[in-house]
Amino acid sequence: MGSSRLEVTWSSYHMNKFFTWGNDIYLYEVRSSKEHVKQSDIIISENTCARLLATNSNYRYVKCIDIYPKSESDILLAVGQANGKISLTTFGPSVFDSVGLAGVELSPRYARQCNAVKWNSSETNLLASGYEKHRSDHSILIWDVTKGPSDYRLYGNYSTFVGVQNTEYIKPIIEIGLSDIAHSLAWFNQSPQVLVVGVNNKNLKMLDIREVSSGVYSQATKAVYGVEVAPYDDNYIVSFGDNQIAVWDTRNLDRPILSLTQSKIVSKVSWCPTRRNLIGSLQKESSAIHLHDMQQSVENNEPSVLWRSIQPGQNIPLTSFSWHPKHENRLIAVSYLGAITDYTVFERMTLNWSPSTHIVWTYGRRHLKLISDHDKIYINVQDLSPKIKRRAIAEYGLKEQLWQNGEICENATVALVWQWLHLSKSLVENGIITCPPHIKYPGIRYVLGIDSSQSNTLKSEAMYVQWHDITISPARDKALQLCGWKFHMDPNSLERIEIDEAYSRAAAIAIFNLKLRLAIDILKKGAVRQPPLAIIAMALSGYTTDKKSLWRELCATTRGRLTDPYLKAAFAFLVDQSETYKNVLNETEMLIDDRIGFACTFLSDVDLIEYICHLTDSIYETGDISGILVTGANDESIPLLQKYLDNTGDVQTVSVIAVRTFSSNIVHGDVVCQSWIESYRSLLDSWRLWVQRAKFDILLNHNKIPPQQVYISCNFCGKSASAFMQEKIRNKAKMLGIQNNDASNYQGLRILHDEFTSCPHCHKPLPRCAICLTNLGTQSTYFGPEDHKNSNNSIQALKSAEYSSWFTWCQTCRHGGHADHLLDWFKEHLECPVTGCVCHCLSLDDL
Amino acid sequence: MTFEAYTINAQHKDLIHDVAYNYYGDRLATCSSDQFVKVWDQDEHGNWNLSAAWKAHSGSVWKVTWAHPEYGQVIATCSFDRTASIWEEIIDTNILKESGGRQWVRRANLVDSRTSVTDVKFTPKTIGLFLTTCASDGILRIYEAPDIMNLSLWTHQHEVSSKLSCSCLTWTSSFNRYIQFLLSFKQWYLFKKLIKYIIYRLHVPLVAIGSDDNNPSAGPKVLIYEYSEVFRKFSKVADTVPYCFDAVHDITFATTHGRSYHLLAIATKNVRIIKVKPIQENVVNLQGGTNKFEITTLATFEDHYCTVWRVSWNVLGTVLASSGDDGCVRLWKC
Repeated sequence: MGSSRLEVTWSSYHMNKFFTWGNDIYLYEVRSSKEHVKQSDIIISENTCARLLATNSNYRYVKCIDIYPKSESDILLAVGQANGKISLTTFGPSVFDSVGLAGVELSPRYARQCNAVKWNSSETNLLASGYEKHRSDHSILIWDVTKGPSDYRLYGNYSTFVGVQNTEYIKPIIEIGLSDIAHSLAWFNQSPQVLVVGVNNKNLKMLDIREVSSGVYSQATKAVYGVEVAPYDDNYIVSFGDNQIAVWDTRNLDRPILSLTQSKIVSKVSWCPTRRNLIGSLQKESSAIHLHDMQQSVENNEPSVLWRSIQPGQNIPLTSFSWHPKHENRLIAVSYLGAITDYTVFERMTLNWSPSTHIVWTYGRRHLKLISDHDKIYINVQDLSPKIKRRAIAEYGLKEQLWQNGEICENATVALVWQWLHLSKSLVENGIITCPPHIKYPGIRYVLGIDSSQSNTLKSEAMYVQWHDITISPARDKALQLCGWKFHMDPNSLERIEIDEAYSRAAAIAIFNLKLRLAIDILKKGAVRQPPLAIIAMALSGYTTDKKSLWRELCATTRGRLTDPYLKAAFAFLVDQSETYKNVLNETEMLIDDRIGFACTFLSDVDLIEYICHLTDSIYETGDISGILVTGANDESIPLLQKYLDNTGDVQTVSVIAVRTFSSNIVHGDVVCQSWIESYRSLLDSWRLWVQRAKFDILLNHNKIPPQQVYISCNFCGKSASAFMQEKIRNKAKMLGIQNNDASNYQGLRILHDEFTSCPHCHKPLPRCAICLTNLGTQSTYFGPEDHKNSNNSIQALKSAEYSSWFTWCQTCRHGGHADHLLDWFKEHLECPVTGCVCHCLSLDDL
Repeated sequence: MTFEAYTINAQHKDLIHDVAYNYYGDRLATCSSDQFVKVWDQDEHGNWNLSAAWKAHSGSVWKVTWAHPEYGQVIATCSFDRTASIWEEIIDTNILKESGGRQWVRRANLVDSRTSVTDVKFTPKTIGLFLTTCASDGILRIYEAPDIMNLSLWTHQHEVSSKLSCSCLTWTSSFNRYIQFLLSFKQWYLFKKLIKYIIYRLHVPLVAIGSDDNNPSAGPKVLIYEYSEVFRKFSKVADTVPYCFDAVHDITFATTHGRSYHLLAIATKNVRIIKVKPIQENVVNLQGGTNKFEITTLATFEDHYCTVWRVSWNVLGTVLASSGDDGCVRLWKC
């Protein structure tokens, strides 16, 4: 490929052929790269490659090319050259040879550069050409290629070279524009006698070739280059000049309907043939093609443009591009270096993600694609929301026993938190830890007295056990129990850990409790499942208290190779020289319970408090939810839970922990807490999990009854009827000695209700039920076919039976009656039961 | 991994510009350059069926959005024809029973804009029933429906001009309720205004707008405003999003869901995620003026290699989906 500017054009009638021209003309065929690929093929996109079919190097200085518009199996090109000649040429032998079109040459009277050639698309024998200026020649010539000298066709049929000879005699049928310059031209599609031409660097002319003398319409503009008629609509023309792209409406050529100023000089514009109102443009030395989507509105005469730019191929400046004539939004682009790219412009995709875990996006112009959490692919998304929904359906956080929530949370860390909360609660309930009533879930800080002002509650004393000093005090003892380290009271507790196959953890705890033999036994048991543990057991058995033994020295060096955090910590403890145990306490992969348990056993009072304070800071920083053990479940754990929420987005866990364990004034008074709870409730609402939402609300308000929302007032005197009734019922109940929630006397309460048919203040009757026409307040006399009266006498049945006599009314038309009457009515009717009212009461409330 | 996605043939005659789910995710609304809006309902088998289609505007319909179901089945659309419309689904027995007698009617047409209205969003439910629009002349408008039972009445509350052609807007949504403080006498005396209560929330509602202006020198293309409910006005958050000078095509706040900060996704030539963290000051800001925010870029994803068109968060704000010129939908997790 030469150094000259390379142009590219799709063949109009072959779906898979295009040609490029610079010095030579190359014809390519586009093939799928899945088929047999030759080495010489040029890869032009992920799926396609181009194979060179033919080269035509007969012409130097090609200026412009147009393809013969009649559908044929071969390609006939009109090649306009710098010397003014227009040659009709093919790639090798073709069907055009026999009709004598191939090889025809058309020359103007005076040689000068040919700027444009265009075939007429309906009268395919007509070819328009535009030339540079010559003072005594016309610049726009229309040729009839089939009409040479009178007997041209005859000669053509006899011998080919006669045709060549005779071409000199072909004269243009129409000549227009004496001593003008024609820069570009285009035929209209619907009215094929009309041409639009850019002339003299200042005019856009419309000519009718039937009436050359009069039919000229001219408009002054700088945009005279690359004029092109919109493929769908003859009314629109695009042209460019310098850095301006102009779109014209032929019905009103006074000024462009759109004038787009570009940052650089424009080198090509082209309408997209497959989509209305889309123009592609290319600027000099730019690697991106700009797409202008013209938007028109009926009421609005000024269209606007949606702009976007695409970059086919690498970041190399492009010289030209061409739209595919049929394939939607496909184009081919060619760069300075000759690289060809086959590119399909994707339509602007819009997408959305629903709360019910659907992702939808637009595919092409007409389709929507959807995936949801039912699709396998969705697992890869790693979306937390299906899991939260699953947990919500399983009533996560609503289980009676705290530890049961851990079983459905599908997260080991959070499960441990629930277990710990359960433990903390039971320790308080069993009186092992005594604390004021507002603290229900004390944490380590409370137990060790770090939070309280009373200093030095620890008062620990050292004790020598087995071979090591340990520190004990009542407070530490409680802390150990909070950590689940009740080993010294309950030797079986380790077995529970063993069941979970956490042998190394069990062994480490045994070692921290100075029970070496037990640790070795545990490891031996574990070796059945995890063989390497046998070696660890062997290593352990060599332990001596001698501080300078070979064993210690070697263990200290090889310890780093262990991967299991518990074994690492255990050996760190055994070889520790100082009394700070940094290597054990900083083993962050160990559960926080065990780290604190260890600290409470071995650290001195000062070190312990410092360690706990340090730990508190670090859990606030990392948002490790198991840190709730340190803070306890109270307002101090809010920053911790907030951090956990920020990290994971798990608003569910923090809300249910807050509601289950925080005291009521924190839950209702703290803005942070409220925002968690409100988010979670809204989440449940959007999943339509109303039952779970309601249960959550009950839990939330279990010691704070929500305010009454509906009041009944009398139509006549306007006083509240319900307040009076409640008072009355309460008094009567007191009189009769009925306990409010006593099931056996429930019927009695209903009788009290039934008396209430008139306003207690002015004694005017209450409105009537629209169905049974009795005054409201009377018991609904009609019971549907499923009568609940005979069902068992539980509160549940009574409560739901009572519903039938409730007042209800439409918020729009204000008509109403007994709830069950209205429900029955709307089973069969759409309109309100009151005559003449056309309100669709029930459907208005439809969800 | 190959998979087959569920396909709906939307039958729009031109490019689809927006797809919106309702609050429950069981209804879809689409809008297109063919000036139509279509509503799709999901049946119990998970299939999506067309339930309504109507010509909504006399120009391309850019965006469609659902109101909270508390206000009924209400959508808002905005269009190139310089208007925004409110539509409500009503029951009308005069219509054939097949569609359940449901029909969408235009409740209001907001004609204040002189240019194409590029985005429309309802405010978070906690503020009330408000509608915000932004237009290519850079004006952000807020409308209020004072009576939620009458959706044909919308009063033009306030407008802000950003002086940049706006392409998109988004609200933060926090779920915290109002907490009202009774002012002490001293405070009241100092304040000397007839406001007895100060509405205080953990998160002030924020609105972010993006501009598709191509000129990088025109300043940052994402602006964040704080909405004061007491004074019903917008004030610009002091330091707006830095380093975002390219044309912005879409912008979305993740639902906050209890987080201590807001996440803002921006679709520009790449995908950017911005963290907007309110700096808590324990003093209740009596002037209702600007709070302080700490704005940091959390992540920038370049993998589309070209223009990014849309971004959308999952319900928890933990995963982000984006679509771009490369024809891919990509998912991001921080």
